[in-house]
Amino acid sequence: MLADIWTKTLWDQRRSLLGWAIGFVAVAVVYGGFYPFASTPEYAELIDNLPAGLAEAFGWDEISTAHGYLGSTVYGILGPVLVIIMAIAFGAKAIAGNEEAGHLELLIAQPVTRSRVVLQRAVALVIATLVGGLAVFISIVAIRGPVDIELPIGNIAVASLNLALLGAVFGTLALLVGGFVGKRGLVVGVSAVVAVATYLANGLAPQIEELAWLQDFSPFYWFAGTATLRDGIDLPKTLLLAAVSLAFVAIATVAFNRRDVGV
Amino acid sequence: MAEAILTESLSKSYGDVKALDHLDLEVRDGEIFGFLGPNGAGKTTTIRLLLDIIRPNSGRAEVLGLDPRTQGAELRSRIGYLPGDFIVDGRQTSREFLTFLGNLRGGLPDTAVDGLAERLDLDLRAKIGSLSKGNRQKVGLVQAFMHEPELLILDEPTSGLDPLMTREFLSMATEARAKGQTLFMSSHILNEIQQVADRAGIIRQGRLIAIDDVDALRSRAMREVRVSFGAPVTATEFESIEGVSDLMVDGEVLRCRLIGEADTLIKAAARHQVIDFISEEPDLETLFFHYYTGEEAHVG
Repeated sequence: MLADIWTKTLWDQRRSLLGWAIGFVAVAVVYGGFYPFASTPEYAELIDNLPAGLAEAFGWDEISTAHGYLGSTVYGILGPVLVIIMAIAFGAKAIAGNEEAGHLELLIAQPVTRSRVVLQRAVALVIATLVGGLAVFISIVAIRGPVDIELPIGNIAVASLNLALLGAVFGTLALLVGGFVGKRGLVVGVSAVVAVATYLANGLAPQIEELAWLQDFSPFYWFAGTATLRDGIDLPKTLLLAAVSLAFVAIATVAFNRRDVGV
Repeated sequence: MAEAILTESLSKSYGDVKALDHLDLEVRDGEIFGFLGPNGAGKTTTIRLLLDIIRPNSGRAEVLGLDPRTQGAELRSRIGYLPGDFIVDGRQTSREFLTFLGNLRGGLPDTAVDGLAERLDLDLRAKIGSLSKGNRQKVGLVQAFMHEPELLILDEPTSGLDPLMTREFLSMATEARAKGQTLFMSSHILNEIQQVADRAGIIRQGRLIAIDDVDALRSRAMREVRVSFGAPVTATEFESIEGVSDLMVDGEVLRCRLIGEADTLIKAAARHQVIDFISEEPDLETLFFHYYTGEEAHVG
């Protein structure tokens, strides 16, 4: 585990990552486990009485179906929130946090290029989000039988992958901001604001005709939890999540190569 | 190659603050070079520029014949670096950390680390976070020396070390030189530099104000002298001695400042019964003061 930067980074984060994995399992099992209570007619009626826009914004319009329920809970709010918080935390630590703590100077004084540092930290980050997605996937598959979630395993797998990639987008965004400035607080702040803004752009913008186009630019729209659970992979959207993450890493690399460290 | 480090007009500013102002420095291959200056003088800035941790506003640097800006990784494979603030993640053991750094250099045998750790009396199994400041500094020294680099760049290497370990470090430094390694070490403690360095540069407010053999630098430095005699003496017999200033005679006690050789003063004193003769090591502040006031004479 001490062989290279990416393995060392994961090794250093092993306890933290284990904690997050437990969190993902807990969210998936607890929320998933409540599905039988949400798929009752009474609950459907409750949702039907909500204003249509509100139910739609939060993805509650199909809440009595398996894809609708999971798409608005595990894959709708808590899963994305968890994976994004984790990814931003790791992404912010990767450069800015490390730099602010004074740990980065010695690393870049080793016979490694700045690009190698950024790329390997990005690899460690993406692996962490994949661990999160995998934890959710395994949990949902495990409880699928007992709580009657009738969804193809392939759809659950793709939705979980999308969840991981959604985390990767915001984690690499944090990496990108850290590529420019070595201030952890600023990195976390900017990344969190973008996450909230794009979440709203996905949920609320379609309610307003003039702003509907904004949704196309939201990673939450590309993530498409409910639709993916229902219909399976929407390849362009999954690829878009991956491509944007890669672009962020590329920009982070260029930026970090150009600036002073630790001042 | 004659120079391990060469800088030409190297400058670095942070906003309006000139951290480094047209530094011309030359460190010869195989020597121990002491880089002296008070805190904030630009020592660490210089070192970070040499390692491409920060980038200059103007001027250039060449280290081991390579350009830090474009050949950084290759260059750093031939350097051992100890930062001024040696801070690493405390949740790992020294062994873990040193193995990792060794792996970034293509892997090092455990024996390379063990020998140094034993010499510095460092327990490699302990978590770095649990170590005292002195012991952490030892980890820093081990990682700088372990791959026997051609060039060692050490920023305040003795910071936090007790006198015994300081001595051990100084002998490691001279042994490294004997093996042909070059050492560039910064310090604000003249005494350490004086013990091991061949040459030294003095930097103040981002400008190099003197660079010379250590002995020459020291002989030009000012010392505080106090002589106690067996009987009262008069000031007149001492006041014309070259290099003596601020002379004060109070009965049997003479105080003065002395620049240069002590020979004439001692011979003048020896005409009387001398009870005690104290010549205080010029501390760095005095040395700086001297060079600062005499700056124009040394810098063109």
